[in-house]
Amino acid sequence: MKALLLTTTVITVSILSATARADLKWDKTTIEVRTGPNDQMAVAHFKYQNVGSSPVRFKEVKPACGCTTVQTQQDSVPVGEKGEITARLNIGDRTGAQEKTVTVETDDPMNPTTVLTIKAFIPQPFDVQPTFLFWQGGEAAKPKTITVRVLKEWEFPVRGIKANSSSWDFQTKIEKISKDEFKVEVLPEDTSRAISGTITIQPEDSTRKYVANLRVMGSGAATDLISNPSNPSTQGSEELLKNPFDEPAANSSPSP
Amino acid sequence: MVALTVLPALGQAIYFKDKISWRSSIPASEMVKVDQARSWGDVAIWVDARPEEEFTRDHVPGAILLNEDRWDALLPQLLSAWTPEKKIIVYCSSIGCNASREVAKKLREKVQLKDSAGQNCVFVLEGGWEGWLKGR
Repeated sequence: MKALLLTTTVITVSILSATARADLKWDKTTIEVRTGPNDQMAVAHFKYQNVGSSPVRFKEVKPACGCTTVQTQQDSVPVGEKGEITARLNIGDRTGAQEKTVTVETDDPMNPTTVLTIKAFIPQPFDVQPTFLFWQGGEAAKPKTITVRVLKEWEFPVRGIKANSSSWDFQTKIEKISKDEFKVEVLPEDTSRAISGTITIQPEDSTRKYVANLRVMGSGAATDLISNPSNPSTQGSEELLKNPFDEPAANSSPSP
Repeated sequence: MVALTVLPALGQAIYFKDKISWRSSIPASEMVKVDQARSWGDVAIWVDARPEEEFTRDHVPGAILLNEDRWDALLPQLLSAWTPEKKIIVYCSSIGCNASREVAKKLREKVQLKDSAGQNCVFVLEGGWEGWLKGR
């Protein structure tokens, strides 16, 4: 009799635990976000509902990258309850396609791990290359070129660009190649000594600034010579080229 | 038979032509193992692509912080240490992270760092910071 009672209890408990199943159903596990030009964050809301018959507890919600933060509304999801996990990707100086993941671990034995993916496309209006020009010590002081291209995702016409040098040691000259392309020629005054600086390139009608680093290598590294582009005291020359489609180009080297 | 093989590949190529590539792919020749990277000694510049908090906690001795959170502000420090004779080794947290690939790609394509022979000088550390810790 005792054996029968024990067997019945074991079977009942087994059936109950099998039917009382946790089941967290996700609306989407991958979300694509297209950010605006002035956005600081790409935000994705991953919605879920517990469609099972027992509560689900979040054990860990961990972003793969330190650039992503996550926020959960609750530690445990009661039966039938809805909620969401918010993932925020810090845009910083990122551009283009970005994919970041968040790993969610729950106490659901059937489905303990879910990977949530945020795909953000951060539009880049302009492509500036290269962002570093260097001359070897003693190399002929010939100009080198930075190319600025207006990318197709930028829908506004670019009338001209500005190139603001941090140092008089580097002269700049802007040339318009086409309505979508500019060239910035940079010429160091002297290549016999270690010098460095930056050029801040800014398309007209845009708040975006692009920094290119410049360096003439001497015998050693020029660590302390790198100037801060955001420091107004290091600002030197500036030149501006208007779109020749609008008005004649003012194309000249900065005068000291 | 050949057509059966080529047609799906062609279709895929056309379909994905304008699609966004979300992950930075990198050829094996641009990866470097911990042992090899260590053998480069003073020729190597170590670049930590992790967030600043993780870098502050611990990093490869002498490593320079460079990530996409503050790219423009951090880049000059690396460039001031670099010469065409140097090799750059970029690492992030672990084998699964993508930040080191993105930083390396940007250094190659945007900054256009190359060695004196015009060859690649930017490498991604296999296994990242965790791999370096294991090999320490």
